[in-house]
Parts: sequence; C-alpha cells; structure tokens
Amino acid sequence: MASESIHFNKEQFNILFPFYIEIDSSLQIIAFGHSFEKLYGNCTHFNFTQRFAISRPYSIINTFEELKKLQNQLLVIDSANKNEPQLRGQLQFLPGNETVFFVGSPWFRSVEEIVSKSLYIYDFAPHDPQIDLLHLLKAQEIRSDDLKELAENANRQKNELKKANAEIQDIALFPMQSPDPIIRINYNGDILRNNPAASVLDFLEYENNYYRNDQLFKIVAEKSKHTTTKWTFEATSDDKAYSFLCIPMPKEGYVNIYARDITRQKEDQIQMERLSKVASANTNGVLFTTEWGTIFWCNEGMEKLTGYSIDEIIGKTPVELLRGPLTDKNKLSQLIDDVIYKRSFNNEMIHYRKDGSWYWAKTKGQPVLNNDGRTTYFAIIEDITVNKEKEEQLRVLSSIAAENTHGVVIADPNGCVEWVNKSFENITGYSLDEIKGKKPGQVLQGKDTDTKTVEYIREQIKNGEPFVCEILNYHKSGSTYWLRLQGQALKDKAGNILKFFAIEEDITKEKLLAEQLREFEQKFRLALEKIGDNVWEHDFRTGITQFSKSENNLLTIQKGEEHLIDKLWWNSIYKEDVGKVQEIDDLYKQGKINHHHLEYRIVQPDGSVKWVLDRGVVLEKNRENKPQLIVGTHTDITNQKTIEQQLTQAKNDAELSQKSKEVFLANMSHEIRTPLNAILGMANQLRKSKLSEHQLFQLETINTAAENLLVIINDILDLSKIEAGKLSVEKIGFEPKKVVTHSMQVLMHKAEEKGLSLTNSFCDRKLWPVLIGDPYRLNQVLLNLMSNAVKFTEHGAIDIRCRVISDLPDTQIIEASVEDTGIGMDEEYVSRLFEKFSQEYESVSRKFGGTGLGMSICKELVELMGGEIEVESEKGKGTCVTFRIPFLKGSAKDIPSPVEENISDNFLSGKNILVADDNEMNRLVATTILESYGAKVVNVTNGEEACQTILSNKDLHLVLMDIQMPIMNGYMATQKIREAGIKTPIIALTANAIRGENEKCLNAGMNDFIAKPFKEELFLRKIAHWLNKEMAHIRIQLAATQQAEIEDAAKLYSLEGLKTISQGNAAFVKKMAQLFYLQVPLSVSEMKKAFEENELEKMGAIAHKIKPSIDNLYITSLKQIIRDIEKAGKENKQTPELSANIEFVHHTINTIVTQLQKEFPTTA
Amino acid sequence: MYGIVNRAIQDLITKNYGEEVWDKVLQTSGVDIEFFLSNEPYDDDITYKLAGAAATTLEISVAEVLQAFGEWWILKTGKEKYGGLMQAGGNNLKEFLINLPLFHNRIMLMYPKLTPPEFKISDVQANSLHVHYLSKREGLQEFVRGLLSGLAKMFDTDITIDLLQSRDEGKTHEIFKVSW
Repeated sequence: MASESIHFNKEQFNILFPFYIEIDSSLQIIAFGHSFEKLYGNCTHFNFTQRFAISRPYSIINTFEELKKLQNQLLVIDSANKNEPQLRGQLQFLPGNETVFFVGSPWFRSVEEIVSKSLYIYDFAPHDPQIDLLHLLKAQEIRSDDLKELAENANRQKNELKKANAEIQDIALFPMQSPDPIIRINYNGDILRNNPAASVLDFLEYENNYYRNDQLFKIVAEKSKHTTTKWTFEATSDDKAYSFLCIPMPKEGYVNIYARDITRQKEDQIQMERLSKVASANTNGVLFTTEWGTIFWCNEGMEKLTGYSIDEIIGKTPVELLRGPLTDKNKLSQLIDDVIYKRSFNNEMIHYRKDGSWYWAKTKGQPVLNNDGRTTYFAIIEDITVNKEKEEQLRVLSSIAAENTHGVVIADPNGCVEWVNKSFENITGYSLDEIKGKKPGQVLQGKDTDTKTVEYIREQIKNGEPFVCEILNYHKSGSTYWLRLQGQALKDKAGNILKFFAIEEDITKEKLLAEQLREFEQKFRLALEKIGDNVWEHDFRTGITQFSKSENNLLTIQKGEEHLIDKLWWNSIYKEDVGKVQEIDDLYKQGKINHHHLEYRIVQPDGSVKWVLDRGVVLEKNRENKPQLIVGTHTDITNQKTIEQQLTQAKNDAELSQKSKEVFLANMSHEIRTPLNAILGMANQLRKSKLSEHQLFQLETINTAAENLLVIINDILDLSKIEAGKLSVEKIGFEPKKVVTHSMQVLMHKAEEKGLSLTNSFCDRKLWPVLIGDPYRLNQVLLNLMSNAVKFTEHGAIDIRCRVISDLPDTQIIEASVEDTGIGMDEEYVSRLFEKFSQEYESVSRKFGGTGLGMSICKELVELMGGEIEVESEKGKGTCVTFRIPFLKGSAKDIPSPVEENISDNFLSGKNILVADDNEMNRLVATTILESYGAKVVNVTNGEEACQTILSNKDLHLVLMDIQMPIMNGYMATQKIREAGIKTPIIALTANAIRGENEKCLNAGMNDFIAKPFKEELFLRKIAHWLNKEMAHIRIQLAATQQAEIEDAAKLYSLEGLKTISQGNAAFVKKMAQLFYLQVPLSVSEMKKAFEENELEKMGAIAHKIKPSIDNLYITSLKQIIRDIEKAGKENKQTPELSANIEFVHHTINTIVTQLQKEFPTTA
Repeated sequence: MYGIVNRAIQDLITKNYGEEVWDKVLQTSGVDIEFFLSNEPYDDDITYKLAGAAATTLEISVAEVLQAFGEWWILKTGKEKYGGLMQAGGNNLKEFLINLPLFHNRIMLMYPKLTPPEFKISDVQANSLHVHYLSKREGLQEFVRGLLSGLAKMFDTDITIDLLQSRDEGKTHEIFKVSW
C-alpha cells in the first residue's frame, strides 16, 4: 500500500539533487547539496537574499511568504558573486518543515566552463541532462566545422579546376607539337614562347622588305595594340610562303601568332588566276559549282549568255537558273544523275535566259576533286542555237527534198544526175541507179517534146541561170507525161556552179483538166444561152462588163451598139429598182458579199418593162478579199412575175371573198334566226290553242320545217367557224354515259315514230365515269350520226356501241359506233362522204333533205377533239360510222357545277356611286345595273368633273373610273383625288384588257380593276367587295349551252349582254340600241375620215371610243378588227389591211344600224 | 559507424604518414568517399576496409593499426573535439574509467544511429580495475586496448593492460584488467 508521503534522508536527497538549497522561514539557507557546495562554497546560515537574487521572474524577496509565492515556476537565480554560475530550477514549500526547497542545477554555456569550475560528470545527478545538452552543442559545433572544411575543400578544388582549365586552354592555344610555327609575343614584340616549328622563321620578307623575326614581331605587336580582333598577314621565309594569323589577347597581355605554310596554295592560286583569266575571257559561259551543284564562280561569258548578273548567278544551281518549259526533262534528269554520281557530262538542251528567251546550249561538265576531298564541278556552256538551227534547216530541207511529192533532181555542174528522190523515180519510172551520171534530157525527152523548150533549158543551164517551163517527157514505159520544171544552179561564194537543182511537178492531170474545163465552159455557156439565160462577166479592175450575145434579146440592142451594152444596161434599169442594184454593187466592192440573187425591172426601148432575175458569184478576189471578177446570168422572168402577180391578186380576191362569205353567213344566220324564233315561238303558242287534227298536222309540219331549218343554219354557222379556225373545244369534266343516254333520248321518239329500234347494245365496263373533253360537241356528233341513221333507215334497228380501246393511267381512247340497217352507200360515195355539201344523189337530197354538211362537220369536230372517224357501208345493207377520240380521265370534281351567284337585289341601297365615263352607253350600262340594286348613281363624263364631284360631295361611297377620257384621264384624276387625301375606293373600268394595265391602275392609286365588257356577276362582286357587303339571294343560272347559243346568235350583234346587264330591262336595252345607232355611225365616219386624211392617231383614238359599244352589242365580227385599227393608230403605222378593215367596219356598222333601227325605231 | 571514426583514421594516417599515404590507403581500400562527415553514420565495413588498407599500406598488422587508432582517438580526436567532455569524465584515470559506462550511456542517447559498445567496470582496486567490453562488432578489441592506453597517456599514468578473457576464446565478451 502506497503511503501518502515520501521521505528522503538528506543523503538520498543529495544524490538526487546535488545542487539543492533549503531555506527556512527567516530566509536563511539551512542546507544545500554537495555539488552546490563545490560551486558556491559553504553557505550555511547565509541569508538567501544576500547570497542570491531571483532574476527571472525578477522578484525582490523580503519575506518568506514572497518566496513561497514563487512555487511552480522556472526560476533563474543569480549569485551575488558574478563569477559564479546562475542556477536554474524551482521552489517547493514543505509545510511540515516550514522551509522552501530549491531543486535544480547550475546553468553552463559549455563543457569547458564545467571543467573550469572543477566539476566532473559524477557531480551531476545521472538524470540531469545538463552534460548531454552541452555535448549536443559540441556535436553541433563539430558538424559546423566539418561543413566549413567541406566548403573550403570545394573552393580549393574549384580553384584547382580553374587553374587546370586555363592550362588546358593555353595548351590548346599554344600546341607545342604543331607542325606549323606558333609564336607568342608580348605587346613590345618580345617573343614569350614559340614552338619548335617556329625556329625556322629567322628572316622574313614582308611587304617587299626583309626583316629579322624580332623586327617583324615588333611591327606585329604595334599593329595588334590597335585591335582586339584577329588579323592576318602574309610573308615569305626561305622560299616558303606563310600566312600569319595574329590573335591579340590583351587581357593576358600577349599576341598569339599562328603561321601556316601556304606555298602550295599560293602556287595554286596563281595557277587559278591564270585559268580564271582564260575562263573569263572565254565567250562561252564557264562556271564552277560545289558538289551540291551551287555555282560559286562564273565568268563574264555567263552574264552575256544568260542575261543574269554574276551576283544573280552565284549561289544558284544551273538547273534552277537555266531550266524552262522547253528544256528536255529526260536530259535534265540525266544531267542531275551525272552530277550526283560525280560523272562528267556533255549534253545539248534548251536553256532559258533571264528575259524568258531561250537558246540551244551545249554543256560540258567535269568533276574536279579538291584537296579537301570534295568534288566541285567545272562546266562550259556554249550557245549552239545557230548550229542547231542550221542542223534543223538541213534536216527539214533534206526531208523536203526526199519526201517531196514532186520529183527532185540534183545534178553536177555538167548537168549529170547525182541524186533523185523517190517521187522522181515514180514519175519517170527510172531508179536512181539507172539515171545516175546521165543527163535527164537525154533519157526523158522524146519526139513530141517541144524542141524550143529543150533548147531553153539547155541555154539556161549553160549560163547558170534559173529556168521554169512546162515540158512533155517520156516515162520509161514509153508513155508521155507533162512536167512543170523549175531548176536553178547552186553556187559557191565565188559564184562557181557547184550543182544544179530541179523540181519536177507532174502536171499531166492538170493539163487534162484544163482542157476539159475549157471544153466544159464552152458547152456550158452555149447551154445557158440556148435556154435563154444571158451570161455576163464583170471585171472590177477595168470596170468593164462583158455580155454574151443573146443579151441583145433582153435589151433588144441594135447592131453596132454592142460595146454600149454595159452603159445601156444600167440606164435601162427601172427607176425605182436602181437603188437595190446599186446596193448590191456596193456590197461587192466592199467585199461584204460573195454572191447575189436579185429581181428587178428593165425598161425596154419601146417603154415596156421586163423582169430580170440577176444572179452572180465572185470568181476571183485580191489580197484585201475584194472581188476582182464576178460572173452571172440574167434570166428573163417577166412571165413568172406576171403569173405571180395574178396569183397574189387571186389570193387577195379569195380572201376577200372568204371574209365576205363569213359576213354573209353571219348576217344570214342572224336574219334567218330572228324569223325562225318567231315561227317556233308562235307555233308553240299556237299548239296551246284548240286545233283540228288537220291543223295540228299542218302545225307540226311547220314546226318540223322550222327545226330543220334551224339545224341547217347551225350547221352552216359551225362550218364557217371551223373554216375560220374560230371553233374551239371545251376541256371540262363530263359523264360519257350520260351524254350517250341524252342523245339517245333526243332521237328515241323519232326512231319510234318510224318503227325503228334504237339500242345501246354495248357499253364498255372500263369506260371511265368522268372524262375531260367537250360534251356538247360530242353530243352534237352523236346526234348527227344517229339522226342520219334514223333518217336513212326504213326498217330494222340502229345500234350504238361504246368501247374503250386504250386504257392508260391518265387517258382513255373511246370508240363509239353507230350502226344502222339503212339504205347504205356505194363504195365510190363513201370515199366522198366527208366532203362538204355531198349527198349521194340529188334524189336523196330531195327525198331526205339536209345540207350535206353534217358528216363534214362531224369529221371536223372529231378531228378537233384529236380523234378520227371512219365509215363502213354497203349499199342496201346498212352503214356503220365509227369514231375514236382520246380523253383525259377526270373525277367528279372536274364536272362544272351550274354557276350560281347570289346577290341581294337591293344590296346597294343607300350607296352613292360615281360613274366617270365619256361613253354614254357605258354610263347607261353601269347606271342601269347599279340602280337596279338600289344604288344612287352620279354620272360625269371626264376626269376633271370626277375630281370636282368627289371634292364637293363627301357622301360618295365608290367611284367607277374609265381610264381614257377627254380633258383628264382616269390615272390623273385618281392621283388628284388621292393627293387631296380622299380614300374612297376607286375601281378602274377599262377596255384595255392588256397585261400591265392592272398594275398601272394600282400604281395610280386605284383599288381595283374591271375589264370591259364585263360580266354582271363579276362587276357586282367587286363592288360588293369594296363596299364590304354580304351578298344574298338572286339566282343567275348561266348554263354553258345557253352561253353557246348566245355566241352563235351574236354573229352580227346580240342584245343578250345588255339584257343580262339590265336584268331584262327592255327600256334600257332599247335606249342602248338607240344610242348605238345614233352615235356609233357618226364616230365611224369620223374614223374613216381621219384615216383618209392620214391622221392615224386620231383614227386610233376614235376606234378606242367605239370599242366598248361594239363589245356591249357582242359584235364579234368587229371585236378584233376595231382593236387592230386602234393599235395601228396608237403606233401611227399604216398596215396593208387597214383600208379594208375600215371599210369592213363601216359596212358592218351600217348593216347593224339598219337592223337596230328596225328593231328599235326612234320614237319620233 | 559515425563518420568521426573514419575521419580519425584519415587524420591519424595523414598526420603521421602524409596525404599520399592516405590517398594510397583510400585507393587500396576501394572506398571512394573523399570526405567523412563526423555526425553522419557510415557502414561499418568502410571502417574495416580502411583499417585493413592502412595495415597493408603501412605494412603493419591490423592489431597495431587498431591500437594506434585507439590511442589516436583518445589523444587527438577526443581531446581536440571533445576536450571538455573528456576532462569532465574524471579527475584521474581511475575516476574516468569508473565513469566510463555512464559516459558511454549518455553518448548512446545523443547518437540514435550509433550501435555503441557497452562498458562495465568491476574489481575496482586501489591500483587496478576490470573493464568489460561488450560489443556486437568483431575484431575491435585491439582498438579498445588502444583506447585504454590512450586514456592512460591522457592522465599521464603508466598502466598495463591484460586481456583477461576474449570472444576469441568463446567468452561472451572481453575483459581487460587495467593496472597502474
């Protein structure tokens, strides 16, 4: 069990803490350790505060209590004796003893201090680390010493290295073993060192003076003072040349001089200079390159040769300097190979100069091995262009001679053959071997050869003169041939004949052809003259025209006047035609034409006129491409011209006649229709009354006759339309079955009346339900064929069949046939069936009636629809007519629904509308329509009035504005209105239904555009649109068939348009008609007068004014003509048909006026 | 061993025989360290190599080298570098030797990488005592003899050293009897 307290006796405590002090409450030191005593002596009974002081924490101790308070702290205690060490430790109060214990040890700075105080290791308690700390301190010191020594070592070594380095450098700079002399001098010229090789330099020759070496080195030292860079000089010693390299080293205070024996080099240099002079003087290019081909030297010859300066050449390779597009690539790569493999070379190729021109160069190159083992190249470039050209010329000349298609002969000065070419051998039949050494004349000429020519050649050869001749020669086989011979002597510079040279051209064929040509020409001229053509020849150089004799016939020249023909001809040209003949003549002279073809007139001496066809062609031209000689013929075409004129007249007559026919037909149709309407209408009314059977029979007869007549009239109208090309076919959707059924229904009762069966035995299932085409015309054809069948069949049946003969994705070809068991036709008639007005016999015509136009119309209509029609018939058995028509396939939506427009009959109620138009009839039409729908209308006759009205009347809702009006036109009026800030909608009314008009109107500020004549629905819709009104409930049903009837009936004029416009307002129609016949004839007369007075613009303006009136009355025959007149007026241009058109309008209007006056007599 | 040991060998040879002999020793030893740092531990082998090379070069036995070195260690290295500490070891040879175990134990604490031998003192008589040398290293007993001889010279005391027992004889450690 551990006790509460620990007890030590003094000795034990002393071992543990040999430096302890015990202090009692009176602060007296009462005990201490033995090591303490060794340091501080016996301190028994000393007052602690007298002997010691507490320096840390600094405390002045006066009482025991104060001492006690310093427990549990590190204390530093100073001795009163400064030589004694400080103590370090702590205090502990022991209450039982009433004493304070100090426990600690002295504080030493070094081990030496311990020794000096005669303390030993055993004076310290073993647990006290004091000694160890001091030991550590010592170890640290040792480490520092080590490092210091190490650093000194390193420094020393570094210095040694530096020293060694300097020594190495010195050895490098001054290698004693060098075979070349090396001398080191100071700046006074004293030799500091030299190597053994330097000992030979006792005396030196420098700049032509002899020096002892020390003298020379003084000069060197002096020179070196002024420079820090190396410099060289040359000197000789004992017949050897040396180069001295001086390297001043001012820091070291000396100059190193390196001498090198350059004796050999000097000799080489001299040799080189000598060679350079030779090379420089060479006119050829001379150059040296490095082993890589870079030029490092060249002579002036290179400059001259290449155009480059020497500076530009040096540093380049010959390849980059001289290569160009024509340089032979193979030779170039061969050259490069030669250089790479260090071979010598010799080549010829094209080089380029600096200016881009080229020359032929011969280059010889040689590798040269230098002292340093490197290869340089030495090359000479020679311009051989002239040689090359000569070579080429020679080659070309040789080949010309050898390959010439003509014979070539080379003979010696005596005329004996040395060489001939292949062609010569071919021409003559003699080989070179056979003729060599012989004179050509002796071999080739024979009995028919012209002796004079032979003499001529001989003479020329003798004199060494050139010769040209044509000569007959003999082939080896004995046959003859013609030669053109050209020869000349080849002479040397002194004029001595070296050789003869001749070219022989075989002209046998040429000779033959010329002969044939001469004969042919003779015959041809004769032939031309025989057939009446007159041949002439004009020479532009002389200005003379030669005529063949028979020219007299055309001009009826008297004898003795032949030499005057040229002049007479020009004088005889019809005055009005001279211009065009002259024009041709000028064109020839300017070289612009090579031939001509002209018709003109010649006045005969008796005053009669003949037509001439004048044709010519250039035979010869000069260098300026101008004709020298032309030949030609004059043909009398008076007869043809007369016939031509008659034909033209006949054609014009026929056209006029055709037009008259159309007018007649139109008039007749209208004239007949009007009473027919009355007849049929009245008959219809009559049928409603009570009639006897006989009367009924008579009425039906009248009805049938009238209907027949109507068919005839319609046929005639159709035909005239077809002939005029005015009939067009519709492209709308229809149901083919319905068309067939409908046409059968129409004729069913007629067939039944005659006891005939009318059947549709076959209708192809493939028949497309809806096709695109013209159902009305199809219906017309079917009706025509069926009614013919009914008409010409007395017993039996009529059968209709429909087949699809081609069914493609988009189209079907329908074949329809109508077959009867009627009287049939004979073969001859069938062939004429489709001709107009054809019926088999007059008796047939009489018996069955009809115009004979039906089949013709059917054929035309079928063909117009892209189909074909054919007939099979046998007399007495029956007829089958078949037609085939292609149709596009359609769908239900393609079928037009009946037009229905719903417009409320008072939708304009309360609206104020201004109508501005100078044409009274136009105003009436517009006003009538507008008023009938409840509008209040204000009328004005020009743009100015329109402006004034709008400015003064703010209640206007809409303006209808004509464009062409007197005083101010519609555009300008609109602009003024818009400028005034008025935004009332303005709709243009214009008869100019041309493109661009719409835009012009909108640009002028108008809101919309209606073309005249207008359809009422469109007119109302546009107005409604701009008045922003809903439309409701008036039905206007316009079936297409009705429309067609209107067109038919309106051949001359129709009131249907006016009726529609006025909703059947008879008073309006009448007023319009009256206005027409009161005003339009006057305008037409004015127009005619303007035309006759050549005031075409005025004429056009009047035509423009008349145009709407003509359109309103559906006068279709004038619709285009009045526009043509207007156009001619606008363009101020006379046209050939203008006169006829004016006449036609005048005539037609007069007719219409008469008709209108009858229909609407003036209420006088 | 700490570099200071090798330094001591180098100093001994350099001072007594000159730089060239040292270079030769170094070259012979195959050791390529030019400078030994006192407070850095080096491989024991280096010390043996140096001792061996010195023996070869100086043509003396390794035992002689080690003895010389022991003396040198005390008289030169110890005195020059740790003079104060050596003196604090005791007032005379006897005191010093008695304090030797304590002294050595303190050093062991300061040089953690040191594998120090252990000394024990027994049989303390007026004129003699026994020094027990316990070491893991082999072959350094002559070094210890040199050390003891050096200490005697330091305290100016004539002594005789008797090896009472040795590991060579199969004993656990060496015992030297130092008599004065």
